[in-house]
Amino acid sequence: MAPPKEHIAAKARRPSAAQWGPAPYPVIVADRSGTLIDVNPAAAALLEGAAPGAPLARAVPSWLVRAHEETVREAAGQEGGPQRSGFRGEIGALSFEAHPSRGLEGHVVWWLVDDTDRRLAEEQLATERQRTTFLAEASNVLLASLNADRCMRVTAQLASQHLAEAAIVIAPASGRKLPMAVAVEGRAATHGTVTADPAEVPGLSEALQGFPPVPSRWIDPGLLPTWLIPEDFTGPVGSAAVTPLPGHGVPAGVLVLLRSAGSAEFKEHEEVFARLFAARAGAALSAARLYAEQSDITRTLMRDLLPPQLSRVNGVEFAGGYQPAAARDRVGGDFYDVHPGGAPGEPSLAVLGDVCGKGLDAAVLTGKIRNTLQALTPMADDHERMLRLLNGALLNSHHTRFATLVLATVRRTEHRVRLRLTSAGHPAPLVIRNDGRVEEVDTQGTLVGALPHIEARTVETDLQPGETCLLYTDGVTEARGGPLGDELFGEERLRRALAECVGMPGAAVVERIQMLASQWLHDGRHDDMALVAITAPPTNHLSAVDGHTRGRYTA
Amino acid sequence: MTDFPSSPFTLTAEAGPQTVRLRLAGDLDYDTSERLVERAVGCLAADPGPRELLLDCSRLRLCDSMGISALLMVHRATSSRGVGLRLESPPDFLRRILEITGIRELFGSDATGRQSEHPEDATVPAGAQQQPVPPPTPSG
Amino acid sequence: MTSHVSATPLVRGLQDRLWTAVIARDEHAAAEVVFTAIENGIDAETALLDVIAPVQARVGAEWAANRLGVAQEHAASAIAERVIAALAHHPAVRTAPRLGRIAVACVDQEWHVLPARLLAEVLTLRGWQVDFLGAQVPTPHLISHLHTYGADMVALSSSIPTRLPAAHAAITACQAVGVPVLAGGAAFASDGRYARLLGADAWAPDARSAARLLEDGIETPVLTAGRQQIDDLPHLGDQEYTLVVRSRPQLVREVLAQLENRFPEAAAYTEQQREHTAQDIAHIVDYLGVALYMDDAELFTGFLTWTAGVLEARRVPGRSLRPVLDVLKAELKDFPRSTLLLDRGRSVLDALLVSGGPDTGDSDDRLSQFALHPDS
Repeated sequence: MAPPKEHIAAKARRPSAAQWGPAPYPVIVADRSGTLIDVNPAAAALLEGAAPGAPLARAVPSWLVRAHEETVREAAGQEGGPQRSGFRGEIGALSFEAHPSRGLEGHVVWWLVDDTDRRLAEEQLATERQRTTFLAEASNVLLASLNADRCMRVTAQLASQHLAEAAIVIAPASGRKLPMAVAVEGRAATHGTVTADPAEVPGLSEALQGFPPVPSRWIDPGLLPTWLIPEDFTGPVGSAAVTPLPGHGVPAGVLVLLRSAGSAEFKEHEEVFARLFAARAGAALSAARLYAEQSDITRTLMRDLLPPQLSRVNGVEFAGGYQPAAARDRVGGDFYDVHPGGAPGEPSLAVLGDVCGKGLDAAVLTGKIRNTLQALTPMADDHERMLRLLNGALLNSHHTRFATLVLATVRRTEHRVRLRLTSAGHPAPLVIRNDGRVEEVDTQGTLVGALPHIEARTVETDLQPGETCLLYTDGVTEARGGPLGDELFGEERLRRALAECVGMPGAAVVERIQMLASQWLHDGRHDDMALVAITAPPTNHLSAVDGHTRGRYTA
Repeated sequence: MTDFPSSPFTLTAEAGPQTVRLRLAGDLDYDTSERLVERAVGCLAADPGPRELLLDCSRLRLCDSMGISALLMVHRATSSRGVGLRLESPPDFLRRILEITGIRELFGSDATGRQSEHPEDATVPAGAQQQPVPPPTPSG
Repeated sequence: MTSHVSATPLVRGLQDRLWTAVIARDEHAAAEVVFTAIENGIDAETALLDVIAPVQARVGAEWAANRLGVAQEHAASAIAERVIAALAHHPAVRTAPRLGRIAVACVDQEWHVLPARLLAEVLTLRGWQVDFLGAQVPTPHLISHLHTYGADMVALSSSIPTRLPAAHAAITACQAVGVPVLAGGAAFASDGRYARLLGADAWAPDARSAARLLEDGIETPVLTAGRQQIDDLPHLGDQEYTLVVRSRPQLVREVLAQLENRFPEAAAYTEQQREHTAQDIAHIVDYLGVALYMDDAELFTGFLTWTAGVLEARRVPGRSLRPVLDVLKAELKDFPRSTLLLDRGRSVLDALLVSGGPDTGDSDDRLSQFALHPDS
């Protein structure tokens, strides 16, 4: 090869030092063997010891040395082919991309591009995305349940997975006990209570009282009490953060995060993020507590409004069934009760009725009626008088909310059961006779609670062993549906169904009618449905199991 | 909150000399019964008030317990003012409810009898309605 | 359930005595059979699963075969219920809860409570804290129970395939509050494939395997996805299920009208016969609906086969089902999946009729009114 030619070529291709000298990027040139040929001022300022003639390995970090070797190898393999670019690494505290380009005599010209800021931005973005995803997922999980215990467990578990190595959720004390959920490294949390003084944990009692959080760096991990540190937490605690779980005005609890001595301490932005998570967990926990309180109150109030479980009373079989109109309600406008007579010879009083309206309004009126009737049980032999007194107690000048009901005074004599039945504006009871007839009891009267004067006619009838008298509300006969979709279940269908129930235990009669009516409805809306069966027990199993067994449904 | 009527209940009033006829159509139930009471009480409060209130039920499709409660409230309002109250051509289902609940006597002869199996027949053209009105019978 | 045949002679003897007592409606004798056995050292789980359960299964089978009346069947179930309840309070079988908390419930509209009841008792015996919510639990009740009391697991029972969509709603709702569901009962098929299709976390063919699965632990569902029912069954997007179920009354009406057009004797049915026919048609539409929901033809053809068998047992020719399918096919001609199902139903039915059909049993007054007999 003739030198002039090379010279010409070099002149044409080789960028002069003057060209990259003032380049804003650090530029270094190295030959195939890894010796520096040229270094521009920017590179000299960046790389200590970088000067022409110096070995590359002494001037640049190892990642760039490897990148150089690789580039030289590739250049030898495929002359003129494309070269890999986009090496990346750190020089000091900064991050660089290194782009090689071909120089003279197989030299490689390295352009170093500072991408520190972009890298940081990208890292932050990725962290931010991760956090957003985590917060969204955490919200999903936290909001799914309104059970406070579960909420605490989930909070601890999530926090131990994403924010620290261990997480402890502490709820405000109930009495002297602190409810606590503990999780380590994302494993399922355990839940329980601990009898301890929250003042033992720096920042804990403050957080439970709603004071601002104590920065992690102020908490001496050595002072944490042993009850706080989970059993399966490895090694001593290196750092701790105490974050309040903000609730509806009052703290819902506190989240304690622990990291072991080997791990990084909590940075400020991590504490800020922990607070974002804590806000969500606190909201979920408060909602769960609120739900628990509300449903507790409702349950207490409703306990007396729910229809009772019926069983055998003084040798007579009673069975009841109730389906409230809306699937979400458990109480409504229909009701029934059986008030046992004082002694085995005394009659029992069974009542089944229907209050106009629905929901809690109806339930409250129902409660009033049931209480009044219970108080009137001693006069169970005089239905008309009972009804007049009840009517007087219910009359109200502001509204005409009324009730219809059936009273049944039930007395066992020998094997028969003697019934006195009175309807106050209510569908008449039906009796299933042993010969398959279904009789309507001919009692009639005025509804109660809306008119100053009422009338009622009491009818007596006997049940032979195995016979059943059924009291029902019109929710049964008014059930609209059937195969054609818009027919009423109706009294005729009810009678036909009862005719198939000859000799059945009362509970089975109730269940069968409930089943038929609800199948008739298919999925249609219906009014409350209530049924009471009064059965004279068949003579062959008088004593049965015992009188105290639970009924068919405990729900 | 906006009330989207799912089962329309309509009330139309026709005032004659000394008589107001309210035509009830559709479902008289939990959601609509209040309207009947308000309207009826409004009619009774007019000056001069009617001597009889007629409730035309021929186009009533459904009446639940709140509907019955509303009818009882209307009855209370009319009887306290000495105004007569009559249900006109109640459908069979309504007659049956009034029968079972023991209150049919409160609502005049139509509620008792079984004159019309075809409620449509009872819908008299507007021009033919000004029949002589019977003297008011204050119920007590 | 342990079958009658594979039981030990001792257990077989108990089964026979309990059967006799139950059929005689003798609650006292029934209780005595069980309690004497317990006092003689039979463990309560054996009494529940190997004595009471097989007797109840036999009651159901005898009823289906038309050898037991509806009153006897109900009486037998009532007696079983009371014996189980009394057994639960027997001092010899009390167990203190030491495992987790489980809610046992029947799907909404599911009245067949006994399998769930037996499971609840078995789990209690094995040391779980069991909340037995009973038959036909509306899903909102189940969920508010879970919110209020919490549960590590829900055991959900369903015996009727037409309740599968309701079961699906319940399963999805339980999982959405983070509680896994174990499904059981005949509705989910003998191999549990419908339970899997509906995304249940576990399925068990009987109470003992359910107890084993629960003891091994079932993983809590992942909550982050926000899964909805259609995610399990993407074919529901074609709306065929929705449309068929919602137009059920119109379909029944149309089939009824066309039957009366084609067969003069159908026009002369009594009101009651007409209603029975309408109800039978409605059932066929219901099963068509659930087959569309699950996208599983066997749900439909299986029901037709069963119905044909029941009809034959009641001396009604099974071929009377054909015109129902024909009319439905004409009505649903724009619905490709329904058409396919009806075609499959038709060919299964034809094959069945060629082969001579199932055994016939005794006739029954009530079911002879099953009025689909236009050809006779």
